[in-house]
Amino acid sequence: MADEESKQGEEAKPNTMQLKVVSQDGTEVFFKCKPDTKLEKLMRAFCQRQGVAMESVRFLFDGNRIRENQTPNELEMEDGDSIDVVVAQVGGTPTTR
Amino acid sequence: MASINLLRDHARAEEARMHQRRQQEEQAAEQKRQALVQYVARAKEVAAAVDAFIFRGSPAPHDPGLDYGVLAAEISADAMAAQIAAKDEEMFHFEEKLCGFEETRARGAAEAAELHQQATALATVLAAPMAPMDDYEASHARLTERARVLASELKRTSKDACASADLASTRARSIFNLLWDPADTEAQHMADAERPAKAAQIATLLAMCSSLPGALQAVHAAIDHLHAEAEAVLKVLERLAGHERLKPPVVMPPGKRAYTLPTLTAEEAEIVDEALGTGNPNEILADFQNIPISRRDMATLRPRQWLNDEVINYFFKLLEQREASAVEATWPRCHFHQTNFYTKLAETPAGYKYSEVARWTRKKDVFSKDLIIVPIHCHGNHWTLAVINMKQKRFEYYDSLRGPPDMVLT
Repeated sequence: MADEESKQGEEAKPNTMQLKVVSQDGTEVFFKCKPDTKLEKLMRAFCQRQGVAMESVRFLFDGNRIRENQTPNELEMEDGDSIDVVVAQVGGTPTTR
Repeated sequence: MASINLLRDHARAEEARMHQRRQQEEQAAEQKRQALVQYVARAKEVAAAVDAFIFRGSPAPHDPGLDYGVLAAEISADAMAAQIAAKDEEMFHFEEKLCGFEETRARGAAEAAELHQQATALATVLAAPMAPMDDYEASHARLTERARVLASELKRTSKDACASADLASTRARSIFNLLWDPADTEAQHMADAERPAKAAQIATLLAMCSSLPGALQAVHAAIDHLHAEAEAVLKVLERLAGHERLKPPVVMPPGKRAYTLPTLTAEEAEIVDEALGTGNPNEILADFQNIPISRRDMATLRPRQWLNDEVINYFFKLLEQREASAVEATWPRCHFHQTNFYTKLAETPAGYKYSEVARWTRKKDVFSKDLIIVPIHCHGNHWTLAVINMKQKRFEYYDSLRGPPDMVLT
């Protein structure tokens, strides 16, 4: 697991929280962030690290879509909560199956 | 003495009678000579006429050794009668053929007229203004132009066919008149000398006449081809103009409600065109409940495109909102899951994993609902729908491809 950013010794800091971003293939990436920082920072960092475009993935918290301009406080996130990352889905009547 | 006088008188009378007879004979000879001269002049006229016809105006090489008058005189009455009879027969055949040809020509002209009429009608239809189609404006104009060209070509070709038919008919008539003029038997006799050449000419003309219907057929085939092409163009135009999509209204059996889509007003159609059109694909056209819809997402709603998750989730949000407004109390209360719900629940690397989605409904009371809607992204390329019908206590599975529900429901 890519959990090199989880530094358990620093959890005493009151103003930071640890969030877990979980990909569809089960990969987990941990991020430390402030409750009032916009999630855009986290999302960009994640996409850059995974090498994917921002438009091709969706971030979900408890099954609800979250956006760049929202903050963990706004979404009532707690320390250790996980954010799901899902990829775009398309489907129709395939010509060949 | 008396007998000598008598003899002398007798001799004188005989001499006078002989003289008279000689004069008569001389007169008759002169008449005959003049008749022959006339014959020759007449024969030369006829020969010139025949030459003019056969060589179409160019001077014929004259044969000085050929004396038509002498030739005509040599032909015996029996031979002449036989030849006239033969000619009569030939004329009869020719006339018959001419009648047949006339018939063919009339038919061809009628067909050409009909085709011309059709072409005109087609041109009118094609020239009629079409529904405005911004995207297809260029191709529409191009196809209309092509159809016009086809129609004019059609007109020209049918005119050509009529003209060639007329020409052949005129030629046949002229040669017929030349050969058969009952008032001028003398010309007949003169013309007999030219019989072999004339017969060959007649044969040529007849061959031409008989080949003309074939040529007409070819022209008709060409017209048909053009017609078919114009028809195909018209079909394409109709499809482009969207006429094909207009289907007759569905007749519902009594007792069932028919849900028909409302017709868009001009302003609404404009909005749709704008959204599905060729603008910036990244432009956000709608943003509701954190789901942004770009023009690229909107384009997945176009015919024959694959739907993406955004438009489905967005539509579910709209349905949720509609339910919250509770316009109609009979509407079922629903909970709509995300398109990723099933993926997260059942298609994790570890298989079925409830813990992944355990928190998704913690703020909602799904058990108070009538229906729980679960969209399923099937095999990564198809959308199906599972429904938990709480009221009827059953699972429902909807698949437009009629796939087996085992994968999802068990």
